Amino acid sequence: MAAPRKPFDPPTPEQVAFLERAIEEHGKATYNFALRLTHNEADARDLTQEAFIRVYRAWRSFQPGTSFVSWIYRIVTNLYRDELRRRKGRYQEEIPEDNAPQQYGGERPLAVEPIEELVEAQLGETMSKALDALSPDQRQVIVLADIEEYSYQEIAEIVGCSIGTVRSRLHRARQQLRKLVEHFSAAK
Amino acid sequence: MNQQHVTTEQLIDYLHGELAPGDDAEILQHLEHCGACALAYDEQARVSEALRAYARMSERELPQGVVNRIWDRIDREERSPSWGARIAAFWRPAIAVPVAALLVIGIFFGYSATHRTPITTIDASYYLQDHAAITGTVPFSEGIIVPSGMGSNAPATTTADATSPKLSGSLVADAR
Ligand SMILES: [Zn+2]
Repeated sequence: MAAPRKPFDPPTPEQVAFLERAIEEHGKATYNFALRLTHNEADARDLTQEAFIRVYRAWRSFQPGTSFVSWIYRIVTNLYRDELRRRKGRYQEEIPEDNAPQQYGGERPLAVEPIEELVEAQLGETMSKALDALSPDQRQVIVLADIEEYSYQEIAEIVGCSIGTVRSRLHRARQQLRKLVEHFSAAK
Repeated sequence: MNQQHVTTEQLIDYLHGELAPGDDAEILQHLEHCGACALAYDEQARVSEALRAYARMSERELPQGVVNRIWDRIDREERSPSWGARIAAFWRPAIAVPVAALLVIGIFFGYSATHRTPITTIDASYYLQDHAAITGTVPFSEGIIVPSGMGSNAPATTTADATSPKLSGSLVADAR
């Protein structure tokens, strides 16, 4: 993904215009995506900045007619993964199962519907905490599938994994999220 | 499948439109007749709705500081390795021809000006730098000297490869 940097590769006006336009049209979406992935403003700012530098360097590898947003989300995702690896030790790849706050109470029928009961002000805080408690991989798949509304195929391309992995990760992430939402809304 | 309840996994795939058409239709039919599964589906759907509601309420503007830092870095690391490189980059036929014409005029007037008033001099290299900087900053703004076809697929340089992406439309069409 990282464009090879030639020793002498002077910028062209098209390259500069490409970046200007990319920032103007997709800067906000990219920043919000980064914010949701990282759940941290400083990280989201760094990630967004770095992603657009990559866009600038690799602008010729962008395929016209394909989705620019998917392209930059893939860049953001890869940068974030690299960053997590770099910081390994501070983050876990997955939350261990026994670390779940509490059991949800088995399968259906669902007597309690915690999400429905949340009023808007509560929702923000509860959802924020719940998302924060997910592993980065789980948060990523939830953001892509439910907030950005990408298909499993598109998510697999962005994340760089199989569709089967997307599916199973999303299933687990949503179960985990429901537990966490119940946990944090019950804690009030 | 019609006789059995729908699994959570199936519900999630169904919710995301990821089932094959046949399976999709079967589940739809089951949900119409089974209260327990319909309830479970509603609960799953609410998770997605809550996530989108949260996303909307927590949406932020891109901080201007981020934009500034991007351009600062490009100015520092990418755009101007040296004035020589910048001028060389700028000094290409498509742009250079009209500019050279202006330059000749500029030098001519500068020259004649120095003859009249020796203090006022317009240095040609200053002009070049200034113009290169402007061109680099607002490459497609109107009124600037742009070779015809630029902004479509025509590269501004004669050496640029033919895979140069079409800017027009490619980003605009991407309204996701
Ligand atoms: Zn059923």
